[in-house]
Amino acid sequence: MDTKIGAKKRPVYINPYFGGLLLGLLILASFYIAGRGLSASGSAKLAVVEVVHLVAPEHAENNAYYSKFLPEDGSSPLFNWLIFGAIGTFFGGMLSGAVYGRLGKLRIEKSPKISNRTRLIAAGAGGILFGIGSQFGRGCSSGAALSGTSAFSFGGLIVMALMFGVGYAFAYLFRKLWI
Amino acid sequence: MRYAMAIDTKKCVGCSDCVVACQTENNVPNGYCRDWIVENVSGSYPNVEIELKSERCNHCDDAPCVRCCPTGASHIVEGGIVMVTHDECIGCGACIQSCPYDARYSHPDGYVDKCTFCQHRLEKGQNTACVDVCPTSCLYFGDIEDPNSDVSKALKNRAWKVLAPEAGTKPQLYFLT
Amino acid sequence: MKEELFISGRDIPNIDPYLNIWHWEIPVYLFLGGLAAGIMFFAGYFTIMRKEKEMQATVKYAPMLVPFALVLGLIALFLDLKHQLYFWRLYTTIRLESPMSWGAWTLMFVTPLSMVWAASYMKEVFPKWDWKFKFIDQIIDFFIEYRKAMAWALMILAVILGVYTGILLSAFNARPLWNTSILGVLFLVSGMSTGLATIIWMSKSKYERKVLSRLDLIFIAVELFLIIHLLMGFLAASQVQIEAAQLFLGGEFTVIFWVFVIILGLIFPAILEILELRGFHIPIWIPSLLILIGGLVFRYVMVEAGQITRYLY
Repeated sequence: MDTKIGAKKRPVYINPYFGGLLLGLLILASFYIAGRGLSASGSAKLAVVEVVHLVAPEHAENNAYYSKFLPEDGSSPLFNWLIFGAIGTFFGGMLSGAVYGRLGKLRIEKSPKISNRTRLIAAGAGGILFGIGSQFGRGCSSGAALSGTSAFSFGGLIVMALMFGVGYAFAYLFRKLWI
Repeated sequence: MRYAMAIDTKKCVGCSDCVVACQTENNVPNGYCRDWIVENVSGSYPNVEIELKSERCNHCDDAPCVRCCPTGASHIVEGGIVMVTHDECIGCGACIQSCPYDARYSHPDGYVDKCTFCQHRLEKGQNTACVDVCPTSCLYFGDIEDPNSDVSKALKNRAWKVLAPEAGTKPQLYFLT
Repeated sequence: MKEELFISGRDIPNIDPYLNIWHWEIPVYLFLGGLAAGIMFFAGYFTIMRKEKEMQATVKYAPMLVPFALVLGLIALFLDLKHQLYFWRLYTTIRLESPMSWGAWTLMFVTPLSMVWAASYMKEVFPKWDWKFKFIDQIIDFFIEYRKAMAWALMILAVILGVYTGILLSAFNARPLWNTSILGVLFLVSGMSTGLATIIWMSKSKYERKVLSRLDLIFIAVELFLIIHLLMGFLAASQVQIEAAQLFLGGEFTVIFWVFVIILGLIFPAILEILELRGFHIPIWIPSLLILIGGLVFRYVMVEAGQITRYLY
């Protein structure tokens, strides 16, 4: 791996199998230190709960879905290991990208044949569908597939299989966004 | 001439007459008070001890509130009483931050207020409102430099303590224990 | 058992259950004051060292922000006053024992001086700038002659301003968390570090960024050293100070302090700056923004936590 670089040379990526191994060790460490899986799904959910609580406090407190995540002592739902895990992930990723030359300008990755607006609208629509789906499936690709399967959750396995399988099946219909 | 007050903690029953009298005499706004009663309970049954203290501004000799006031609104008048000139106070809150006894409060009108040893009554030769009204006569007030005043006589033969002497303020409220 | 109660039912607004009479206005003002002090100090320093050509952002561009920072800080301070119509009383007297009085008068001198400094560089920063009145041109030219003297004044007043932001808190001996003389130096160093971060962000010259990044690393190291010693000093002092330190070592402010002030506000930006100095490409706004946010959160935490600590009750 060529490490003496700026953004001019090709960005460096780790061997994917080795990366997977490290990720697995990370999940083990996460279970050991915090007693729970990685923080991606959980932190997004807590952020949503906090926003709803700010905008409509009574609705959040009376709703069975949100109230489970509002702490009893009135402190913010954001005061949770998961949020700090997500913050750490952000900065750790940034550090890794900086050292290995992957940090460039803020850019929108897409097929050159479509406009930025199309890409962003597609991203937004996909995100909304993914959010709805993740709540049905109780986890996203990190929560269900990584943390879920590492705890031998059968539900997590099904979510992961269908997520990637259906995505693969429908990919042909959306190829124009990427090529 | 140095005014001081002695509170006999063995005679105070915590009736809070002093609190109400002060609020009435000085037009203290609703929800605020210039003096208050603190109860310290220690030990376990059957050896329980209760200490009741009527506390207020200590009118310290080395008052940090006077020292840190940026406009001089907090000042010491004849007799060692710490007073606040309302028109000079800008409401910055520095004096509130510097008082170890939490004796000051921010009046809703904007300036900072606190116990004044009822200076308007002292000028007329009367006692402070709290001393006058105390039903157990546990409050002694007077000129501590005069050996015949109430407060000097109370301090002569009793053990006493002051609050937070380590804060270095030389407070002039003595609690007879 | 041991119990202490207000049995007369005291519940004074902002005083009970614990003192909370200073809110966001004071930390914002302390932050902006420190930032302005940092920028002014280096503007003056590099002018005296005759490095104006190499350190353009330090000497010309960043000081343009200082008058705005100071005025915003003063507005925040004014908003915090509860008896606002009488604010002018601050300027009818100098009370040498009151740090707040020191600060009011220092700001009184520093704000116009920083405006004059910024004005003297207006024509260089905005080439088409026209003062519209000839006598203003003449006054500005007069000041340009005396830039070195202004630089000295700027440096000295900047240090006084930076130290004052800390001494203001440390003069309150009733708040054990604040009552330490380290706070004056700590806030000065923190202010300088935030000032350097701002200048680095604004700078367009690699040489300037390199020099300032090195300086910033020294200041961050000093700041970490002072914070560690602040906590060590508290743990070795009397019971009230030990309890004050416990607020940061397991108490309610532990997470905010260690994550946002120390790790994300000091250590991580320092790592990024070291990487930048070694040739890795880091977008320059990231460490600068983190240092600025860290400085603001630090002051906020100190003001909030300090009001909770007390000798009695």
